[in-house]
Amino acid sequence: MLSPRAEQLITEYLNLPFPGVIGARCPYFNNIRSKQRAQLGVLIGKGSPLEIIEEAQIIATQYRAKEILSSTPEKIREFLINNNLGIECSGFVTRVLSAHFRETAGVDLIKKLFIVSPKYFLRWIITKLRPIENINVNVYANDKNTKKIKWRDARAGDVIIFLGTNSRYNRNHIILITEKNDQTAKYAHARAWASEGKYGHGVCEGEIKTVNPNGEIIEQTWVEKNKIGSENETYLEAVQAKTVEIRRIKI
Amino acid sequence: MDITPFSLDLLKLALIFLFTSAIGAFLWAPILTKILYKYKLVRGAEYDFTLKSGERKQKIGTPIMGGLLVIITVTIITILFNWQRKYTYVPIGVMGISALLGAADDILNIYGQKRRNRDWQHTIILIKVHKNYLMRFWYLLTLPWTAFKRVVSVFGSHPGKGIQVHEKLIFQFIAGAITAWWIYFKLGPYWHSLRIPFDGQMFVGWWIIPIIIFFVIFTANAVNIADGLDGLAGGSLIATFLGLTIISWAEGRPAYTILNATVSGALLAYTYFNVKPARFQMGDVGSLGLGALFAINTIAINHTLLIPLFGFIFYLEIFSVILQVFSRRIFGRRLLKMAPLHHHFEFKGWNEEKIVMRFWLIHLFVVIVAIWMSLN
Repeated sequence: MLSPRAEQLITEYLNLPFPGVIGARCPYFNNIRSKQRAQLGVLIGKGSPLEIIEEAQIIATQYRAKEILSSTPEKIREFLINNNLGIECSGFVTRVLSAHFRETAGVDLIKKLFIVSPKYFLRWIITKLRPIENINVNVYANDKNTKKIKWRDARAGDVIIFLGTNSRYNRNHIILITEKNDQTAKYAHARAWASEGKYGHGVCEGEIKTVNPNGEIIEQTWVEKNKIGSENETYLEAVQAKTVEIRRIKI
Repeated sequence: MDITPFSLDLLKLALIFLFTSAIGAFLWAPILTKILYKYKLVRGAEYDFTLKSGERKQKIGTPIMGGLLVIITVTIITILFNWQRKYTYVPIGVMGISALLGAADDILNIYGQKRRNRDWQHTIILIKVHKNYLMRFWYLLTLPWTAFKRVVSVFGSHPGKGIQVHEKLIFQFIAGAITAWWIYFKLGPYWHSLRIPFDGQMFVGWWIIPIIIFFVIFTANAVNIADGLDGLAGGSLIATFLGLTIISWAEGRPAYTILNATVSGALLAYTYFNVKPARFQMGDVGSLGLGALFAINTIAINHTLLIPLFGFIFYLEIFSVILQVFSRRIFGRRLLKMAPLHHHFEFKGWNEEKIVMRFWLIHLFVVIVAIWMSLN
């Protein structure tokens, strides 16, 4: 199990705590298209739930009527998506794991992760000033930060990393395992399925049913939104990825 | 007339100038309002997102360039009755240059075409691929200027129309350089030192030139930034210029006592029409012009180091913007909910009148402290 604060953070991403509104799930946003540089963390898909809410309130005050943020979850999500507010996969995992390790091990994960070598001085300085904005899937895939483990050994707090999921864009993805027993593992991630269109994406939960305890992770049954097999786009992405690994943070 | 420090004659004269400019400005304010409406010099919502929130919608259609009321009144009264080549010539001239710059910005923000700045990456690409080698060389040569434009553009508030930040800085640099030339070469060796409260003088020699240029540019922009709520800049400037009037009077400087009193009077009339709901707003023409004049008048009476106190609320506002930009760009976090500071309090739920009056009071208090420090 993850720590209570980490669990609470996942709940907040699944249900952003806008005052008086229940069910506004945090959308997915990745800066890869808008390519904002030196921008607020929350505007490049790295914000905490409270930062996302606060930024939405500021933008609503500036551009729209504030009433949108106390209307329906669908309208709120539409507003967030239209204003590039949301969370991307590594931002989500970093926020949750950071809370988890702070509570369970008293460690500041963000400071602990190796992001870039001091050899690249300017880049290194930037990562020291803005670590969370510079943590991506490759940082988690680095052997200095994580070690590879087998499916049977996986536990809550481990991550599933997909590298090279799309031959054209060479994209990566990361999923956080939130619970695991002998039969199933539950996971949470921030993702956008093509079938969900412009306004359907966001933070989601799913599970992986163990059918072959000693097998690889893609040999298990992935269930998300009651979809399995090729209908489950997360699984499809895993199958298409050049590399799929389960990794454990070195703390 | 007796012009010794604390001269009663000088005080009486200053008060007459104050009354005259206040009444004069008050009388022609309706004419100015008509002219501004006639030429549709009014505030639009196109580039000002703050106007889209419910509470500020009413500001759409309010005339801008109301600062002309103060600029023109002060200029006319000074030229007619207080024109002293050694003392008032340059302050009025520099105020005029800054006001012209502000006027151009105000007008272009309404009537101008949308403008686009070539970004840094685009210029680098052009250096590599432009078919004309001369153009490649030109882009390479002007690369530092392109970088400068890119860096200062983060402080711009109206992308698109109007005068851009780097252009403003050039004009303001010229205004600052004229002031520095006048102070350094025309006013004499006394102004080659900075007066330090409680501690006498510190000789700085020619270093006074960059110091003056900095203060003129910085202060003009600070007043410009603070002009965001009805009555805020106008009311605060009254306290500032009254403070400068008192100091000039106490030190027996008739030209500046009268000039500052004239500005205070015109500002009284302006603020009467500018308090919420404003009949007109100051615009860049007023804020840049009066900001520059405030800096020059303080430098001219050799209280340069007290400018941040005489202009406390303006400096607070501009520092809130600078810190917000740095925090955003370097740490990726907001320091305030919104910048400048008055928008932060608006976001927190304070109403406009409460913010303005509290800022006035804080400013007045600090100006009184500055007066006390000046007398020591």
